[in-house]
Amino acid sequence: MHVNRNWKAKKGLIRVSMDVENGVINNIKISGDFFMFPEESINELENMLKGSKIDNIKSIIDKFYNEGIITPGVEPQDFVNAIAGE
Amino acid sequence: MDGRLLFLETPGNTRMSLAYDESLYRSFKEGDKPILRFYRHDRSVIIGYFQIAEEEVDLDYMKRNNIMLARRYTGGGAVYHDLGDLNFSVITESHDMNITAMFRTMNEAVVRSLSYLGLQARPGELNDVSIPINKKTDIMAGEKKIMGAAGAMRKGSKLWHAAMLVKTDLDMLSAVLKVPDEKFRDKLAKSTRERVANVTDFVDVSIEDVEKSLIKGISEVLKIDFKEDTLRDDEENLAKDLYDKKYSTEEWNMGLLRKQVA
Repeated sequence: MHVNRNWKAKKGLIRVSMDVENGVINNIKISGDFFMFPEESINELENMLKGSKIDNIKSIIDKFYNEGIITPGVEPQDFVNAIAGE
Repeated sequence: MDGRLLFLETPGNTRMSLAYDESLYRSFKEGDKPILRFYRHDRSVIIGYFQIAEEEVDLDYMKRNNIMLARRYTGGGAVYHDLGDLNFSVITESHDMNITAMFRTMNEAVVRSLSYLGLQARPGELNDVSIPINKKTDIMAGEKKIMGAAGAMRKGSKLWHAAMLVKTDLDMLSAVLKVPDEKFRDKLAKSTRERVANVTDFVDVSIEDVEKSLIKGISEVLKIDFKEDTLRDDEENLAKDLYDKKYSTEEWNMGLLRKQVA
């Protein structure tokens, strides 16, 4: 099943385009007008999410942020909502 | 402290201009003088680092109207530039990884600069500056954005760059940017056209007047005496390399390439 979802954080729109089968993310592309430092971390986030269960999204996002990622105006929960839905 | 003032623009080639911006940021070494750069772009749409062109802009409309697509090194949203829009970049040494503080300082510098033109501007929460509108006299109450900014940081240096609407074609701007409805959910304005304004909608000034006031305001707030300078060879060479390997390619400009090159 292909899913497209837009989630508006306080500062920035997060766009998610992904394929989900049996609760597992097969493919995911995250885009949008947010800020993320370091910028290239977005690739790592997508790699961490590929093959993961939608139910585990929160712990994956937390692990990602624990590496010192900075996203002004966007909270970790925004990425959880963008991927898993509200 | 002394700084370098660069009037470095390639108006007909937005992609080269953005290669210069990244090169200045990446060439910056500890002990280098801070840089203030001014530049303009002819009709272009510049998408943010995390964006994909086809999601954000009307590519057919751009082709029909001869608008160049480019993608920058920093995050944030798509913008429309023409020669009525003034861009400026500040590159400084960095001792922390606090980009929010840089946005705040630069917003303050811009608000001060605009006050010299008789404009009472208001800094946004993060990366923009607006002009408050009198609710009693303007049916489109609230405020109008006249400047947006983005930034990059790494160990050693920070880049902040901004675009100020001085006399840009705002109808063209709103026609070309496909801003999704979600963006207006928490705003009074319900369309891009309602949300933005030119400096010249409020005061009768030229691009040069705005430039002069920005040099004054930024110099005062950062306590840097910017003196006109030229590009170094290493900056020029890296810019050319970045242009060849990245900024001139469709893969980069469409938003499909995300790994570091050059």
